[in-house]
Amino acid sequence: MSVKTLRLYRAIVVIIVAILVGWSVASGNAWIPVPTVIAGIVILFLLKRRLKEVVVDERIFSIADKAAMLAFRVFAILAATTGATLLALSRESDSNFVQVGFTLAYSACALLIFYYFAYIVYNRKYGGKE
Amino acid sequence: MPRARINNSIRRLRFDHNEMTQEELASRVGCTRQTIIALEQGKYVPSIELAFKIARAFGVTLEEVFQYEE
Repeated sequence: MSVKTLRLYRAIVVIIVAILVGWSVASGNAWIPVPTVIAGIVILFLLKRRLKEVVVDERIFSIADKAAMLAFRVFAILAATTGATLLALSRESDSNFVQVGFTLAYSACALLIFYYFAYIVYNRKYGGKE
Repeated sequence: MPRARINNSIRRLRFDHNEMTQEELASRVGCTRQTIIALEQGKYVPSIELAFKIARAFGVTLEEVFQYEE
């Protein structure tokens, strides 16, 4: 299978999954999205295995690493500062900022905790101190 | 402190090897053509593994492909 064919199949699968998930959310059906997304992931994985050409190599992984690190930093800083600001504002005026503020603040905390544990795992894997 | 730079002779070696295409080299070493283009333009420094694969694809030593300059 060529890269062009894979892209075509991938686009078709993504469109079908998006339509099904969108429809199930709109109709309030909670049982369709999860199996649909899982089936989509499995189909995409199987399609990728049939590909003969190399489409992902170390340069792509390197780019993905840098992009992920930048996204992590930007989100953590923005979520923490915005969350703290909204919580501070909610004390002065009785508003709905408090829920959004807590959601952002907890998201930032959860992300940092996950990063910390992932860092420990990879540090051990690549020869860091125990 | 001046920045170290790693140059390479991939483009010259490709032409010395019967005008090997970027696609062919990429296929031999197991990477994408975009990576070969990035290497030739000096925009990307490969891993040791890929560097060895490229040197072996040309049948030369690592130092003949990559040059370290301080």
